[in-house]
Amino acid sequence: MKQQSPDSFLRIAIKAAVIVIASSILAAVVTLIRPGGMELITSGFAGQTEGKAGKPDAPAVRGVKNIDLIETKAQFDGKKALFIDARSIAEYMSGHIPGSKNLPYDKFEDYFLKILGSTASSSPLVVYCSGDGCNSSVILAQKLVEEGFTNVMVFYGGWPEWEKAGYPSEKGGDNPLGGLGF
Amino acid sequence: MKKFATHWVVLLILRLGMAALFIAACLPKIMKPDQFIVAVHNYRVLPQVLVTPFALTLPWVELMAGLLLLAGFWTRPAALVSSLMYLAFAIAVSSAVIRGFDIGCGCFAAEGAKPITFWYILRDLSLLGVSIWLLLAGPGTASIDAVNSSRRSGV
Repeated sequence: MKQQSPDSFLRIAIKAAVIVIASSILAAVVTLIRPGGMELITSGFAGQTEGKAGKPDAPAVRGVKNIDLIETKAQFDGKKALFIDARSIAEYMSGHIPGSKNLPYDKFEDYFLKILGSTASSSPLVVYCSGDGCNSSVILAQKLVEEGFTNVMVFYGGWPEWEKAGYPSEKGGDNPLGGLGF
Repeated sequence: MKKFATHWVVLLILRLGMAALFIAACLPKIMKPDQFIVAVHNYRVLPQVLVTPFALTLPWVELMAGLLLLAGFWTRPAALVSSLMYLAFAIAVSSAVIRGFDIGCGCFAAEGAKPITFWYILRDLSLLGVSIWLLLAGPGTASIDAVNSSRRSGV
């Protein structure tokens, strides 16, 4: 078999552009015809949130309300919401919002039932992690929505903002995962 | 060395490996686009208005590049697309690691279950290297490109 003649770089670049353009058209068509596709474009993510965003660039997730420090404190004082700490066990043990339960986002499948199995799906939940630049809370909130929870809030400012405000905190406590995970 | 780098078996393994990676990477993103949109947003390297279009398009570019590499058709153009993607991924991951973001990669799972580390930068740079290798060396003889080329040459 003869060695194939090499394409010129210009031809390669043009074909590469065709690949990208064809993929983009395919993506657009699939998005338009798939269930909920249009919703992704119009409301799934464009910086809008279902409530007042905790941070200007807090990710918006369908079914999840972003709340700021003031609203988080109101939820804390009202004692209606269950606080979920999405950080690692070590971070949780070194300081967390009093009463919060630790459900590390990367151990969700292992500990979801243990932590939230007996919680009603309509219960208000406030999820937080280690603040701006951390998306553990967002990921965890998405998973909670998928599990059927209907009142999930994310405090994107997270533990650093809460601690900086001088609000109540507690350290240590029993291993929230019942001896697992260490 | 050059003989090894352009040996058809080596090129076939690299091509199929890259194809498998792209196809494995794109499927979760196509299945859960909303989670991948958030993962892209969290890198904060794109203007807000581009986040959704980019996140909805990228998995299909990955799929297309993966299928072309699998078939060995338009191998060099697909390798160029692959090179540009891995260069972009390496830059995005580096910028997030440098800024200390505790975010998921969004590489092989839409939501990015594990936080990114320097290891991810090395991985992207390695895959960039393989993509450039395929771009320079071409598809090898075990490919549709080679068959088409032979036909054109009248062999």
